[in-house]
Amino acid sequence: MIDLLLLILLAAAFAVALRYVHACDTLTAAQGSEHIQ
Amino acid sequence: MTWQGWLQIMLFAAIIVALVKPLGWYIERVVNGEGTWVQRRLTPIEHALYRLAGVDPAREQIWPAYAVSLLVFNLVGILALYTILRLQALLPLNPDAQATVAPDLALNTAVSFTTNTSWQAYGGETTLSYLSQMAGITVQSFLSCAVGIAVAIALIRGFARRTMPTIGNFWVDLTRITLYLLLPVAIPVALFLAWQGVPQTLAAHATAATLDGATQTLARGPVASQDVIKLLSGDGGGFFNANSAHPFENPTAVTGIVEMLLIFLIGAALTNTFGRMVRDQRQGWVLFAAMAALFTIGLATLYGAESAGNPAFAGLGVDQVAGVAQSGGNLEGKEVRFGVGQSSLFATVTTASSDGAVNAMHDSFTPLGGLVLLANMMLDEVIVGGPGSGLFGMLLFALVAVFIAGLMVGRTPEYLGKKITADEMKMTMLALLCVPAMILGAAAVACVLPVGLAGLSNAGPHGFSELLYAFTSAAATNGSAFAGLSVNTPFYNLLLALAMFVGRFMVIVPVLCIAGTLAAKRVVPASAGTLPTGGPQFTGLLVGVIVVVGGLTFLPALVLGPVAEHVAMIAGTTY
Repeated sequence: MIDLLLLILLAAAFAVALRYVHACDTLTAAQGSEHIQ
Repeated sequence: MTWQGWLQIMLFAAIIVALVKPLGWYIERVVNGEGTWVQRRLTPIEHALYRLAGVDPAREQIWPAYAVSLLVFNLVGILALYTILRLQALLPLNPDAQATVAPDLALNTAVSFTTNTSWQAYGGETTLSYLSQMAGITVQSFLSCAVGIAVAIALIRGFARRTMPTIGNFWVDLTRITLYLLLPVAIPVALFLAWQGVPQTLAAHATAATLDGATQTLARGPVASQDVIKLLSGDGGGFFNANSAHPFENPTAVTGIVEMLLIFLIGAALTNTFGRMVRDQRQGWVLFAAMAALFTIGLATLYGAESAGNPAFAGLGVDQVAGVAQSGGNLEGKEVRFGVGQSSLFATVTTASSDGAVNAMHDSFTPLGGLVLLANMMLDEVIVGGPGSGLFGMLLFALVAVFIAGLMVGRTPEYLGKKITADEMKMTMLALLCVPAMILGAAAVACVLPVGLAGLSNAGPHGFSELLYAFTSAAATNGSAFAGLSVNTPFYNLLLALAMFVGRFMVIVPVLCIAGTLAAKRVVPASAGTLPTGGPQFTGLLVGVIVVVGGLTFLPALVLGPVAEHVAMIAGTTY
């Protein structure tokens, strides 16, 4: 039972990490080649 | 301080400097598939692995595909190690009948070794079977190291390439680094360690009768094969609980220096690989010089503090002066055969890198010594750092440095001919801020919850340092322990696992994103307004940025811990 709970936690953590990849990609793609200056 | 201590420090530094260039050249050829002597002989194995995994080595990946491949690979790694640990009592190669590892400890350990942290909430000789050590811990040490180097290489490609959408193929990088770099070093050095006296056996623990007639258990096992990769990989997880203070893991004076060299070797050489791949080796030497400057400051401070010892002992008539009989200073928690000199060097090396192997008990260092160990890790472990992670951490700070310089003169910052834009700076900030946020946030939570405070064995600022060290070590993927904190509880196992996860993957993803955006850019020619990044001026700027960013972020926490303890020690109060 505890194993299952921990594995769900682990899956959730990786789901967040995959979402993080998507968010970073979206963030940079939306900015395009915008320069700071 | 003794001349012998400084002599071994200079010998260590000289060997590292001498090896940076040849190994940097070798790594460049390995990752570019340019055919080294080893590569030519092992190519059939490489191609067989690709066929087995269904990988097309000619097909490169854009950065999100590279990142997803990396995450999926690490998820499988965590699950595999977790399964081995949870089933170890039923699996073979368990001659000492080690019990199954508890779920929270198994998850903590699986995350720890997959993220190249090697935080150990267990004693290896009393917890793990030989199968768990070999097929679990050792395998992940190789693979997590290869992952770190692969990310660094992907980022270097980002700087080196021009208008390309891809940053390499994760599976190819992983395979080549493991096959042509890690294994060819690990196998002969493991044999060398075995020759020096490190055990390499599948026999059960031995029992012996002591001179007093008592029975003593002597733990042993396949130590040499794990010892070498624990050091080379920046992983640091010891076969034994005492790690490299144990005479079976570090038996002679020669193994002592070889172990420290192994820890720094790849991380230092990658600066040269970076210079070669961006076709300007001065750029690599600038990064190396910044690492060397920070390392020297830390080591001199730590060695000085440990040599001075505790002023309270003077009133008690305790001799702390170096002489023929002792190396002097603060010897508590240190092996007499290493003395203060090698213990200080090893401790600085292991925290400046992301290794975490120890040959002395960091909890027993003086407050200033402990501060240096904490600071090394808090500076994002860019002082050589872990294989790969140190270089990409240093490159993140280089981006911040050129950004600050650009702001000062009102120009769009450039680094190696690439315009650094809002995209890269956002990702840099994400990567640099998530580790401090995790360290300080988790330490704060543990400080206020009874379940967190229950693990402390010391009061006052020293107790706070123990707690801060644990989360710093985990989030910075170091893995060394200050000790004194009982962490094998569900609370600490899960919170530290989260810290390791965030400290590894939440940094790697934005780093790969930066690699992707940079690789897609064209190179702009240098002009009169371009900040030169190939000389000592940029080294100074880089060191300044690292110290200021690290100092501003962590100074309040350090004041509450080691600084307060140091002031108290001078006033005669110890904890």
